[in-house]
Amino acid sequence: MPPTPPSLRPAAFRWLRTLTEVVAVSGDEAPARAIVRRALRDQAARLTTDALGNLLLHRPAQSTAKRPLRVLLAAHLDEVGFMITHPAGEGLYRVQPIGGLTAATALGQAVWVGPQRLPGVIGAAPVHLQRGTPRLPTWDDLRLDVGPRTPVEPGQRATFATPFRREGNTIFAKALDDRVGVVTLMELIHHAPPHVDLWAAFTVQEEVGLRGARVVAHAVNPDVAFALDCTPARDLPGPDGRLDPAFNTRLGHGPAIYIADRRTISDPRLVRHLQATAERLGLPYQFRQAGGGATDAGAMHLQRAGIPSVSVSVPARGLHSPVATMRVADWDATFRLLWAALHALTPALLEQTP
Amino acid sequence: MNTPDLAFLLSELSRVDAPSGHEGPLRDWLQAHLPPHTTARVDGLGNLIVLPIGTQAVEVLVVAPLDEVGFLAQPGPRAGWVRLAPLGPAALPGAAAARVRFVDGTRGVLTRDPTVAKAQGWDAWLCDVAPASVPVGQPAVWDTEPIVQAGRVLGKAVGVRAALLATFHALQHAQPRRPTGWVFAAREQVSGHGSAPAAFGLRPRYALRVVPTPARDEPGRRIPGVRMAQGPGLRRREWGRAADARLVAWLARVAREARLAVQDEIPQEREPSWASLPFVAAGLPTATISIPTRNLYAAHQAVALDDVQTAAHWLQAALEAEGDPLA
Repeated sequence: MPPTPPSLRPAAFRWLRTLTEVVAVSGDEAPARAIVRRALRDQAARLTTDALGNLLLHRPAQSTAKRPLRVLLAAHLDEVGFMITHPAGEGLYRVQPIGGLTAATALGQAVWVGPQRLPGVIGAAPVHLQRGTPRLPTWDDLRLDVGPRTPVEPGQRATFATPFRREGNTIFAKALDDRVGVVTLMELIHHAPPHVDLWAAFTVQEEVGLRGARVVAHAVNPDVAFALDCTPARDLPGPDGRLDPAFNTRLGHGPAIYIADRRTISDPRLVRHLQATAERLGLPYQFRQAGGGATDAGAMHLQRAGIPSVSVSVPARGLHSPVATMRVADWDATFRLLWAALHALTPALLEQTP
Repeated sequence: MNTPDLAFLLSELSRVDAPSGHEGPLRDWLQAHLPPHTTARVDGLGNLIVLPIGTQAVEVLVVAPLDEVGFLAQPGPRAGWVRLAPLGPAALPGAAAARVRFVDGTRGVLTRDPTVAKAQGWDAWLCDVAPASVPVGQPAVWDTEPIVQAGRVLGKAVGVRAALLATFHALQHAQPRRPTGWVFAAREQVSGHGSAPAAFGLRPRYALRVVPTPARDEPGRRIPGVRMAQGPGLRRREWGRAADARLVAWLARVAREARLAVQDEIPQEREPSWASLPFVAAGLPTATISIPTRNLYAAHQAVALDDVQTAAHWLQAALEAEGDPLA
């Protein structure tokens, strides 16, 4: 019987604050990668960055097993945001989305531009100057306003200017998708199970097509893979007071275990293992409703001759928007579930037929 | 394979439940019926890979789908009711209620949610399992008893099972000229997930697929396509790309020389298992034999036994034909 799983350390909250307040939009994840690399520099493990920018940590098994289980854990470094495309004069710039963002979400928002977090605003006309029937804006309608003297160039990334905030059991921040997965992975490295050959991947370009995880899984060739992510909770009642039947996940109901999403059917053995682990420890958990969305597991499980994979996510409201909301208890339960599941993972699990 | 045998087998296989990702029962059936000169293994995704005993490397890969479209139970509004999420492109039921069968044996009846004003895909349907209950994530399939009628089999999943049976017949009877591996691919209904990783592990020179395809022969269809009971189809293209021209020409020649009635197919719909196989490793030339199926993905599908038989003979002839199709 493995020991009781630990809880998240106070350092995890400090890292989450730091990581959610950097600009690290898909394709330019360097600021987040640098923070993670600095945080892991004391780990007795090899850290490498591959050609796409994925940060990989390998911690060999500390057991005498002839062939320890090779386990890949992946969390993505990138976040959704904007790319500045071309100047429109007087400190104004056109922008295009990177990842799943709507123009309506960006309207009237303060943003940070580039690694220096230069301030800017995607402005909206005041209501008394709007004419005609209101309509949702398109990206062509929007202009980023950084002022005439701010050094901004086309190609730079920007994202919402949202400071991290914690109120008791609730965290409000941008980019919880997937900085909460990144910090969970950092915590799992700190408490790594000694019997597995552990590969931790901080992947890039997940928000634009799961690109980083694809090459990572090919290179590592693991026996099993876990994607650690953050998934939308759409659990607010509608105008009629009824819960949306497609709520995906709910806050306060624990980690979300994936059975199927748009890109993946999770390996049933890993799903059963996670469920059994949660029930054995009395940890809350929920099954994420099957349907849309995808995680790095979607790319990983199809590499080489097939890699049994599963995703576990922290539920959060308001993802892909200026600010998301999650519960500390859900995050802690997610970490504890993954910790316990990894410590209980053995090759015998994979000897069952899927 | 005579017609009564085929009708019996197709009905038997229609009764086996194998929604995507949960193909175990069908895999077990196949393993129990494998010819003695073969060896089989199940890979990490659930593909059943069959090789002649002693095979070191394969040149030809034959692929057929193992799975069928299905559903997963989702939380419902109260005890005894669940919602369903489709696994693969399961067709929405029509006006009448339809039945589903969960893998634990529980039956459910679909009914429209009266509180959802407009059609909203599967969210607008409730599944009545009362007084039983099913856990969230429990897989299900259409609950339809197969019927044999006038040379056709009607039932759930008969399209994919027809493709599987044609392939299985060739596995049992063909004497391929080249080392051949057989993949009964899991998760094919959800974007062709199974066959590509299996092919990566086997490294063949080329692949032949057998799949069901929507028959487009209803009265009044503006753009007709393949017709049921007119022979299996030879796909000239897949969605968004051409089939390998050398393999297509070779399959056409084999059919001509064997005097088999086949038809050309240019699919109009996007089929789930369209994407990945030709892009394995450094590229895998691929061609597809299709079996016309009416109401593909619905609770009541229909295939013509003659089409299945011809597809089996065509595949067998292709594997036994002289010459290198890629030359």
